[in-house]
Amino acid sequence: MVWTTLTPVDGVSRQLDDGVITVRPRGDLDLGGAPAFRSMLGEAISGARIGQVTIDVDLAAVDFVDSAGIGVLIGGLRRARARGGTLRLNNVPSELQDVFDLTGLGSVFETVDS
Amino acid sequence: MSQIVELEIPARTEFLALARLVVVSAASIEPAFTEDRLDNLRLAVSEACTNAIEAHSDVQSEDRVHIRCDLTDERIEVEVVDRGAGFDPDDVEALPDVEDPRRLDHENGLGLMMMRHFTDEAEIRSSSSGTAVRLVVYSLPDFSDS
Repeated sequence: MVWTTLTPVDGVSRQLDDGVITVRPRGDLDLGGAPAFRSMLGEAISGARIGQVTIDVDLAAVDFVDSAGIGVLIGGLRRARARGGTLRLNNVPSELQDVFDLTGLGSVFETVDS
Repeated sequence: MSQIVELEIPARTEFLALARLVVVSAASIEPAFTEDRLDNLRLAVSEACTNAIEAHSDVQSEDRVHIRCDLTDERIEVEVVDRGAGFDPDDVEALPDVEDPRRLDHENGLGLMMMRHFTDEAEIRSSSSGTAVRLVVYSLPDFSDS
């Protein structure tokens, strides 16, 4: 498997592999971290070919997620679907899984194994 | 014996993590609080402080957000007070069902639900001069109404 590291965006790197763009945010996805995360996701989605937009968001390096971060994920999924693709989650923290269970959003997001 | 920890933060997003850290660290002093309970508290406090910071931003207020923790060995009560324009908690728009495609049009609106769910008591008092959110987490969770 060959990985191509793209330019880090706001301190967060993303990598391209066979048409799947993996976004790896770091730190806190809260009101403070949401704008950079939204920008990073938006750039990844708009940079993918229409109909071939598969964005994997790897949350392994995320320390904290609240509703602001979840809102960015929701918006990212909407934009990816609008371009004929999808957004998937990897390494979902247990706290976020609790929120997904509470809100039913777990059924909206597809998850992928590491 | 009750112990009080008070904190005032500038209404800026950069101070959200500090607010979470101080409140959860205060609760951690009591060994009766499990990691799960502390995680719940961290999330609820983040939502309350987020709302407060946004409320100040909406009215361009330079006032600080006040956070007060009342800690005992069996519970922690956190009050987050802002000087925003206030809102009616009963007038918050309900989110579409997750099966409804329009659900993805709503990136906001989970905060109040999360505060209610991840605490044992959640109360909001709001007026045109500001909002106070009171959150209580017990060392042993009360799932009686969940």
